[in-house]
Amino acid sequence: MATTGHNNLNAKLVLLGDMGAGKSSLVLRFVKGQFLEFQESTIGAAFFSQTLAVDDVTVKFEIWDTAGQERYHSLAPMYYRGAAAAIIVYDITSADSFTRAKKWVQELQKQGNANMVMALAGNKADLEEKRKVTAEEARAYADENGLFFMETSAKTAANVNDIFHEIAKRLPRAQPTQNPAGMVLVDRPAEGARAASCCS
Amino acid sequence: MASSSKKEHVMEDDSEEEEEEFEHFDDYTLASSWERFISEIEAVCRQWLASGPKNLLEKGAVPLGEPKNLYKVKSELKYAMKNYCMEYYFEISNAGNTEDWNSTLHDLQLSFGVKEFMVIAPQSASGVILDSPEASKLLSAVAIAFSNCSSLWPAFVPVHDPSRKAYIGIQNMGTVFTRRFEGDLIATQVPVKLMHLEGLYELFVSKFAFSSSDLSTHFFRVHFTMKLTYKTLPYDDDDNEVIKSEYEINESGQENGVDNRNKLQWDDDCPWSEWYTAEDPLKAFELIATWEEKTVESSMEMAELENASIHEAHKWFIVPEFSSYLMGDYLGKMVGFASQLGLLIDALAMSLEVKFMEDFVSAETLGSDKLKSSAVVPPPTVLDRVLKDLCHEGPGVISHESSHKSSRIIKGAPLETLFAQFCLHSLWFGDCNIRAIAVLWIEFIREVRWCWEESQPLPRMPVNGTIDLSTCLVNQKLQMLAICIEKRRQQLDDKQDGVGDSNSDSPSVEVEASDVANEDLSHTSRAKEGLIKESVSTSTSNANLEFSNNDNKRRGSAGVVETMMLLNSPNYMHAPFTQDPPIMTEDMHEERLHAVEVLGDSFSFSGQLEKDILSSDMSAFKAANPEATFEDFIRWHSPKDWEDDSSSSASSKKKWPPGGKLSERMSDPGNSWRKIWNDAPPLPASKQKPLMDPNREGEKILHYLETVRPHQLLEQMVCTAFQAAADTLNQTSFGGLKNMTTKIDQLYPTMASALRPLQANKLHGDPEIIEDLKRLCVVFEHVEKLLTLAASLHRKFLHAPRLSQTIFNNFYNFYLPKMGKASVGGDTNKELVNKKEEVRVNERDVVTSMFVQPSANQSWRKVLSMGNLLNGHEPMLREIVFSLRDRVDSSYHAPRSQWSHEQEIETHRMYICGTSNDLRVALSVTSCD
Repeated sequence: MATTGHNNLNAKLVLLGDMGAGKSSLVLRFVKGQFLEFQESTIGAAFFSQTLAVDDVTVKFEIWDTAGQERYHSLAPMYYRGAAAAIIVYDITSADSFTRAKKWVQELQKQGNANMVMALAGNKADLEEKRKVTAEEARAYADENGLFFMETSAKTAANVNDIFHEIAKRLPRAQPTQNPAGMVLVDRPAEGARAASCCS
Repeated sequence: MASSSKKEHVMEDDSEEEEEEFEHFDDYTLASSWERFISEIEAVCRQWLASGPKNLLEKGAVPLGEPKNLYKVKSELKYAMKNYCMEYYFEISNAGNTEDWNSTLHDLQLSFGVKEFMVIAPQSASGVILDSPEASKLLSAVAIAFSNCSSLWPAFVPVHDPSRKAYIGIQNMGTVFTRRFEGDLIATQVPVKLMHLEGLYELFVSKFAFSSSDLSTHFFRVHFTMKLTYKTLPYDDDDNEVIKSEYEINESGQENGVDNRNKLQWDDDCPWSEWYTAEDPLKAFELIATWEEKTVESSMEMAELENASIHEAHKWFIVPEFSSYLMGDYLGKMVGFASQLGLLIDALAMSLEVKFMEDFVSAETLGSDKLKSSAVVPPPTVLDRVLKDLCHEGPGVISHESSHKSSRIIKGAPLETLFAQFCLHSLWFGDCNIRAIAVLWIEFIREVRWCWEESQPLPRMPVNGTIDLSTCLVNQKLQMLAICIEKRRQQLDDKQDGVGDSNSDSPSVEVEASDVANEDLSHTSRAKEGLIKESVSTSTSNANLEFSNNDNKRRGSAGVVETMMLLNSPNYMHAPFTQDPPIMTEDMHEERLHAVEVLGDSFSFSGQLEKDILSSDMSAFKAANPEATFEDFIRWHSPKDWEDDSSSSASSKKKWPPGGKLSERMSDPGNSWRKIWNDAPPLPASKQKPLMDPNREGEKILHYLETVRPHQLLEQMVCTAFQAAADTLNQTSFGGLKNMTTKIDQLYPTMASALRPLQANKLHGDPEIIEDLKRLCVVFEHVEKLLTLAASLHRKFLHAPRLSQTIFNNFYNFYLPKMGKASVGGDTNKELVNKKEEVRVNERDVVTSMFVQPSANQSWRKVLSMGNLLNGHEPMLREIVFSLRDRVDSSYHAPRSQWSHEQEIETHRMYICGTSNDLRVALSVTSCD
């Protein structure tokens, strides 16, 4: 979950998606600015961190890049548990990977924390000629489910920084301490004095 | 006397006018003190008359509150060494007539059929004039003053004993008529005759009939209306007693006492009744039945009316009487989840400085007085009972559907599961003090350890192979322990089976497969995905058998992968049984993540664990497919990393060898997957070193449970107890009352946000968190009370949901403003609570059925004396208004009068209000002087 310091924000981010959708490539592009044509398949999960400045706030992303193989699915909860943000990646040249992405969204909606910022990334946007999933279809799905959507290309770097940047902007800043439901704890002293806090 | 003084005052009027002209006019009309008193009254009266209600309101008239529309002003006067207080009561908007039973009326309005009125009373302690000459003198003074200023207000003077509420009064009705009022009460020994309608009718008639013979021969057209008020028997008269005795039982440990309780509580089948008995929030109902005005001509007719069915009444109203704890200004009186949660929070506050739960139990740490005084631990019999319920009587299936949709946002444990049940028990164990909790916890963990050591399944813990990370850590640990126990049991079974296995010479694939199938939970899931085909299937079993005959090395196959041939041999690929991925509780995840974070960004990081899983899978695959290559493994494990040559047609799949190549990323010679492949020995999952050692993990969990810091335990208990209590209440059926549903929906997020600091381990050094939790208890109590009411209403009005809804909404609107405040005070909305609700005709049966025939032990109530029975209940109040009207040609008597034509006026009116013990009669008679 996002934790705030003096204009510093630590945010755990997890990438989920089908194998070979390009999760690791996206991260590598974002963190190191590199692209490997043949990025080795991730075993289990990989960890990265990268800092980003957005509107006077420094956001430090702690990125968990997960493996797409079905075998590792059962480990996924430990990576998305407590994550402030998730990027669900699919490959625009594979309808299967889009289906799989939807499954991830469902799982996160059910199991993840409610305030999680979710992004849908249609990767490999450079392979326009092999496209199987239209941007419109994906956008419609994203709108329906409250995600934000971008088509990215780790290869050309298109939209890669943007998607992380957008997530950083959307992260909840200071968590409002009052109750969402409108019930008040009686006689509560002024809220202002209390430091903004939130769960782990 | 009255007439002469009237004359004088006409003169006085003139003289006042003259006074302006002649300065030294000696006003002999004010000679006596009595006359001065009259003129004082008159002056006040003139002032009030001139102002009118609107201005009086601005000048500070006081609203009476009840009835809502009535206001009063007052003025103090002095006469003959005595102080008098004159009060004028008036209405702002004159809605409804005075005969309207349905609006609340002032006592005098109801009794005498007046609207605005004046009361003059001495300012003595009793406020009542005791001596009758004084009363009539006072009244005539008022009458004179009023006629002087031509006020038409009725004026009343209280007489006799204050408890009699007796009044006499007079009203000047223009110049012709005067109305006289008289009202009194018979407080004891009401004559039998006057207990019945017939007698009351005759009483009224006797006021204008001249002889008793008249009564029987002459028929008077008497108008009559009636209002009967019934009250149900209190719903739980001796509930408090029962609760008390239950406590005693808890303390003394004689549990058979509970069974002695023969009375069925109203909430016996409510979800909370497992834990406590709530006082019925609805004490009783009043039913008010009103009759339309009808004309009665003989006393016989009246006698018949006494037997009239209440269903003939024109209108029915119902008024709920709420229990004092709902209305009470004092919070925390009600014993329920909220009160116990408050105690649990106290225990949490005490747990902060102590290292182990044992410390609360052992004698030497009891130095603290705080602990000693409040530390009652229930006797062993109670402890045994609780443990028995916890550990030996778990339900077979735990359904999660019953819990609220938002329940998961609280980090607790699902209802009915072991830890949730433990938390609920500890709320009611002793008085939920920290010592009692410690004792219960230690014994509880002892039971858990016993299960572990004896490899008995944990009660109330479903084993579904996963750990729900959204629950609290203790629950996760228990889930994991249950899984570990399950694995241990399988190991034991395997060992027993294994003995037989080694003796048999034919290690056929099928036997082994089915053998391992018990162990591998992933087997079924894979079968569902269609990745494998059961080895019994006809097309492949031949090849399968053939193969196993040729080469006995194949081990740990879960079946053939349909449509996949190996690359290097013309055989079908076998999917291996694989090990379950290791399960982890939240803290283990955290530890791992922490370790990685400390190591920094290692780009090629892949945890050892993940590599172990991959390596285990590879070993199992190798064992199941002795001739398989790395490529075969990739085709099975990461199908996208295999690129088929042919754009696959169905036939090509059966073709051998299958064409295709590894994806570029897998074909790199330095690929770490290939490295792991090369190092992986062919070993079936059953022979591998387990990814997770259940023995070790189980011991670790028990160690955690046995040494958990008290505050960590209490934090989790508080969260879980709140969640479980809310979930329990949420199961109550209350007919889907909308306001109630909303409140429950709001409760969960409120709890979640207040409990959040506990999950973040921030309790130390922030006393405010405890304060916040206490406030949460208050919110919880409000919801609990409302829910109790909703449940009670629902079951009483099962067949008249509209009534339960309206009554609930009225109460809710009354209660809601109080929910924001710590102290429930002020009765701004009190009329909402006592609001009469009209009962529709189709709902009458439901209401009637609430008046059950009084049982034998309620026979003392059976002293019936009034008639008008409803299911054996007689009205607790019978109100009657008789009236007699007459046509009067007033023009003859009063040429100046506004009544220029013949008009019907009410000459006699009698209001009678009787209970079985007393009778109040108020009479007003209009006559011309």
